[in-house]
Amino acid sequence: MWTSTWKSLWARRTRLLMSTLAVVLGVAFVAGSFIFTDMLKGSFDGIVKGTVADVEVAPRTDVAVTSSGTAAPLISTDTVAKIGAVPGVKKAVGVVNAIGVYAVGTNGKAVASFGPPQLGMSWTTLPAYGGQPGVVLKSGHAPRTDDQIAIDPTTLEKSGYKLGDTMRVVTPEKGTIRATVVGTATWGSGGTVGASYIFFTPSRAQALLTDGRDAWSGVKVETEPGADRDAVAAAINSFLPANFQATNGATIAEQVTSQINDALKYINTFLLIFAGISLVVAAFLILNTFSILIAQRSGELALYRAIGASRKQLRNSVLVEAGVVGLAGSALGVVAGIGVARAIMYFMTLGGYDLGVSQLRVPPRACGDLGVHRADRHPGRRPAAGPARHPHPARPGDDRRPLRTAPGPGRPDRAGTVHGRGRRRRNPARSVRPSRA
Amino acid sequence: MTAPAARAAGLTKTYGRGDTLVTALDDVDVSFEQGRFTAVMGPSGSGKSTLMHCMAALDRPTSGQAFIGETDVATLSDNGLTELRRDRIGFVFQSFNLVPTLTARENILLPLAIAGRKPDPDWFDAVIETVGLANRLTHKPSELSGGQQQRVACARALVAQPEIIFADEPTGNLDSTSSAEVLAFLRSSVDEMGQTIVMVSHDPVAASYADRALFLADGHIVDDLTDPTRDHVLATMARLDQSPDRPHPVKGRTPSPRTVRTPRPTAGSGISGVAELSN
Repeated sequence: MWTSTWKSLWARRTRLLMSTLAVVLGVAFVAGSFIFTDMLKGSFDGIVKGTVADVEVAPRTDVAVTSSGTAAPLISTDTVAKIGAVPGVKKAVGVVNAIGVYAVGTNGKAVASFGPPQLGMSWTTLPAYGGQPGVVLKSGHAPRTDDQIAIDPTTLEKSGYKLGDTMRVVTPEKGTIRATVVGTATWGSGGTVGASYIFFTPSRAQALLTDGRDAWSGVKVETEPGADRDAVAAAINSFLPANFQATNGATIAEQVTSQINDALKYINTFLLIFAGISLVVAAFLILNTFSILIAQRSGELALYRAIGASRKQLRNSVLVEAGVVGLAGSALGVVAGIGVARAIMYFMTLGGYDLGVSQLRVPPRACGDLGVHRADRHPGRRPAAGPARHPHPARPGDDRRPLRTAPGPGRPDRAGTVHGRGRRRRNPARSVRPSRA
Repeated sequence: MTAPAARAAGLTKTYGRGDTLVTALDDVDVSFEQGRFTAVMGPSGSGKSTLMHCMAALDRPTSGQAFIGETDVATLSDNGLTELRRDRIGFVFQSFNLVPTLTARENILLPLAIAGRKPDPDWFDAVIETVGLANRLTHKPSELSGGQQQRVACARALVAQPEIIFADEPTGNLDSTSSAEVLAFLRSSVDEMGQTIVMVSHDPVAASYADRALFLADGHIVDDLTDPTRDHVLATMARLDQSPDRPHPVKGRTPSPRTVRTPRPTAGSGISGVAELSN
């Protein structure tokens, strides 16, 4: 009986393919919508978690101080040293971050895309939250002298230069400078989703990206294992200048995540409406296709009944057929959904939301949308590593590279500030929530 | 003779109601003996197909009883009917009704496959040899001639060794040569294998292969010939066609069976009378 069922299925494979196609289309749109929104969430999640240190010291965001560039608040090296002496602090590193730092390609044009930021920052090897990798060197070596820089591999490729070449870099305050590319590096292990990173030595970063004093736009703090990050932050706050604040990295991650989720909500709703419509259409299509298939088979089914097949056997054979079509169609539909999600990304790119080159290779897990709105303020939307592969944002194990995201996307003040945003990149993000949150 | 393989008692079947009431079978009593080849003859609309469908549990009688062996088919549940059809009845249809996606061998073994039984290899070989299909077993129905397809259908009915085989105009779609092959095969399965066969037909030649010919007209059995010859059958049919209440008086000769063929109730599906089983 099963043999004949399979043979019968096989003989009608063309028609079955068509009905499978109906299933695939229906599932693909729904799956694509979910995958896309999950990709968005996943990338932002990864960005947030990967770029925040155990404790971040940044300009206050509850004070209406919107300043950037040389006008941004700075924190002195003495204060950094004081922070390093706080009990529970393993290491404190002053960092400098700025947006609007462009690499200039061999063709004389700045390597840039609309949406993702072009970031300049001081080289640091402090780990991200919970001890995860911060900046990871991909090739060459870190900048050791002030005329050396490291940039992210994608930007280097786009620029047309190679390691060892001297290239021009446009800075927001100090004009165009020349520097030798000695290494490539990214945050964590992910891509960049269109953002570009240029790493300077700390002293060069101070000279180029702030007013030139020996001061920092923020401090990243690595705590001793087991230390209470909240307590450490409070201890630091007790002597910080009024316009700076130390915050547990987990708190920042939560705030940023909830802001991002709010911003993503309308995208989810929008896409789910379409997914819902396509699901309903697909359901009718599939129902109809099966009805036709069964009608065409009614003669054969009657024959089976006449020679002794029971209703149950026939029902099972029809159900198996439906099951095979449904399973195969759904499996293909999920795969096609990944394609749909990519297509959405692609059309967003055409629409001006350039996610950058990494998108082709790496499925866009991070989408530009949010990034576009806030691009100015957040330095990094992080490149996700492959969007498609990690549909679930929450997975702690993903390697998304830490973004250098600005401190809090939500905090306006610092966003604009050169300094403000960049500091959190060094701790490993993943442990963020479990530990402290 | 032992107990009949099948019999009908007071079998009545009507269609429609009121002014459109049609009585296809009117209180028919008949039995079919084991090991014999019975032909059921009659003009269009005489009720012969209805009789077969009621006997074979493909249709429910309005009143009266139909027995297969000692089993009253009207008392069987759906599952009971399924088992009856599966284990005790074989069918041969006018339009062959082979599964087009299966080879000849798979078609022949289909009833056993459905029943979950293994074929008896000796019996299978014997059937194949009798049907003369040994070198055609791997062919699909579309690669076989009409006569070969019908022989496959006969082998399919035989291989499960049912108590009785109902053949509904088995030669209706065949030319005379193929008809002769199929009829000879049915004949030999009765003679050599002791099979019981009930065949509905228009064809006097087909009836001449049978041990017995029953004639129906207007829902009644009107004649019963033993060892019919073609001439006997022709004469009887001519007489029936000329009876006063027949709508088409025929002069001189019996209308060719092919021109008077009963319209098939479910011509589209190709399986007369069994379409309702699929719902």
